[in-house]
Amino acid sequence: MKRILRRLVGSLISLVGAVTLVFLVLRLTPGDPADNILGDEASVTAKADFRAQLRLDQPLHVQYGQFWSDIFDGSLGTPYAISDQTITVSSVIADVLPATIELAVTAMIVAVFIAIPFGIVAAVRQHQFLDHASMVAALIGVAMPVFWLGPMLLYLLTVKFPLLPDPGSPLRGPMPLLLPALVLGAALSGKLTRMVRASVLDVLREDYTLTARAKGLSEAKVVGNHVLRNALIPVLTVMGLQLAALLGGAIVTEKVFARPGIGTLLLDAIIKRDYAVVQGCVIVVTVGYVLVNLAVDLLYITVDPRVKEDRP
Amino acid sequence: MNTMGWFGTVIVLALLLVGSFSELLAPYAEGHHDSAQPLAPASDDHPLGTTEDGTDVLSALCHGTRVALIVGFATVALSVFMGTTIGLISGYWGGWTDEIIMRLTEIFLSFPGFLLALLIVFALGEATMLGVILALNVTGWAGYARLVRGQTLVVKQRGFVLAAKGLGASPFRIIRVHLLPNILGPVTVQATFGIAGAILAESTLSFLGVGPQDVTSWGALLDEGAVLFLKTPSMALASGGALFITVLGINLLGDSLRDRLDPKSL
Repeated sequence: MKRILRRLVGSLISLVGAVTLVFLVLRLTPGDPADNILGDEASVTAKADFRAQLRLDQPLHVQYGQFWSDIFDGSLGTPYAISDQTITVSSVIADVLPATIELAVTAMIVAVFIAIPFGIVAAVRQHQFLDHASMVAALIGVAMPVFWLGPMLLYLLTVKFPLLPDPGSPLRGPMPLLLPALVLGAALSGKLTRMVRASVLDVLREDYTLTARAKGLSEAKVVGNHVLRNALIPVLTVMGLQLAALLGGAIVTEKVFARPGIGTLLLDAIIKRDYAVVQGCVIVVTVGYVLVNLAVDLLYITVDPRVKEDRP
Repeated sequence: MNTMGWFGTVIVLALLLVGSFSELLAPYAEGHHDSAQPLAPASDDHPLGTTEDGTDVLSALCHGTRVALIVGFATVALSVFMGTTIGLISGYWGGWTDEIIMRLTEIFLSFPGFLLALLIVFALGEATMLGVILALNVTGWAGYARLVRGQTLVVKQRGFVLAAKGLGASPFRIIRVHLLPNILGPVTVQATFGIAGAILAESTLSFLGVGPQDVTSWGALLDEGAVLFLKTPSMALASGGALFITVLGINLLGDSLRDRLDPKSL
């Protein structure tokens, strides 16, 4: 219980710190933010509007207070480009967030379905053909940039082997989700496969695995009942940490497949120089990242009795 | 070293060669446009064709190699320097210093680093290579700080450090002579993977259109190439391939270094 409480407080500090960091980036970057972001061509009134909208004309502590009040009232500010005051940054984000979550979750499922079987087989057959083959494939996955795999796959599936309608037309059916998720999941699975293999190898060397074998259990039972249950716990943590890569990858994947989502919104806001939306997107993603890692840690405490006992 | 390690070493050496002598190896100088030949297919003049503004793709690849390597090495060198200094201070002195430094480190680690870099580059307006290197460093140091602190906590309990302390060695001498050499193995391994990560991050920023505007980047080439994939696939294939081989080579080298220097970790 004490451990859970400590973790909760730790996450809260991280969350406040990370959100403060977002606030400071604009204010501490050298030069006038209005000049930097809007460029030299922008008119004096446009720059004044920009400063007023972000309250850059007020003292830093006032700006910081209002920055938090925008977070607490759930609006995250108003988009610069829109004059309608009822539309807030958070409502713009809420419109596209489900699409990104859908992509991220599906990609994670794809990655897990690749990584767990390949990782286990590689570990159980260590130094044999299947191990080497899995590890080469995983390494290719680690090194393959999403924004290279994506266009190539699109080319293969639309031009070389036309399983999909021509590349210009919008994707239909489950493809708009499946294809991006496959690309993102495949890229993610490389690191995860290596992690599963290493974790299973560790557990295979444990005394309780030796005991299970000595009892005369079949190899399938040893691996299924004793090894997997213990080996997959550290994998859970890595999955949480991989979320950062997943979010970065989702932004890129959305661009490659012209898919709506928080990445597309963010890039669009960057082009339009809409700082409030850029800032809002970064805050939402960061908060999501911290919360998922917290959830993973709490799950970890529940599934692994050794962690619960507060051992170092 | 195993076969894979050698393979990685050869790739990295080849990249260093291309990067160092890009001015000599590239058929055209950086910034050269053949505006009469936009999007030309592969020919004797342009072995990999040209981009939309008539830049020779092969030359852009060579110049991009230098940029990728500078960004990779400079980012990691700065991150390792900052992270190691902070980690050593935190681990060696312990107590409140450690508590405060580690809380701060946790905040930086709790941030998806790539996203913060994206935000900083955006806030800078027009990004330069130096801007991207510094932006990647804002969160980059934190991982090294945590690693070095952990290693320091272990090494400072060892007999030779306690003996040096007993003989009256100054903290600075203990850190420099006894601690630093004994924690460099894991740091070197992590730094190797870090170089690949920084190169990939810079290319991703360029692909998204917010990378350095003052230099040629593989990511920007890939961004243009992905749009024009059907017309001239060579642009995307070559730049993406260069990035893939670079990250693969560095990872292979990192794996092999890990087996040698840091066999206990994953």
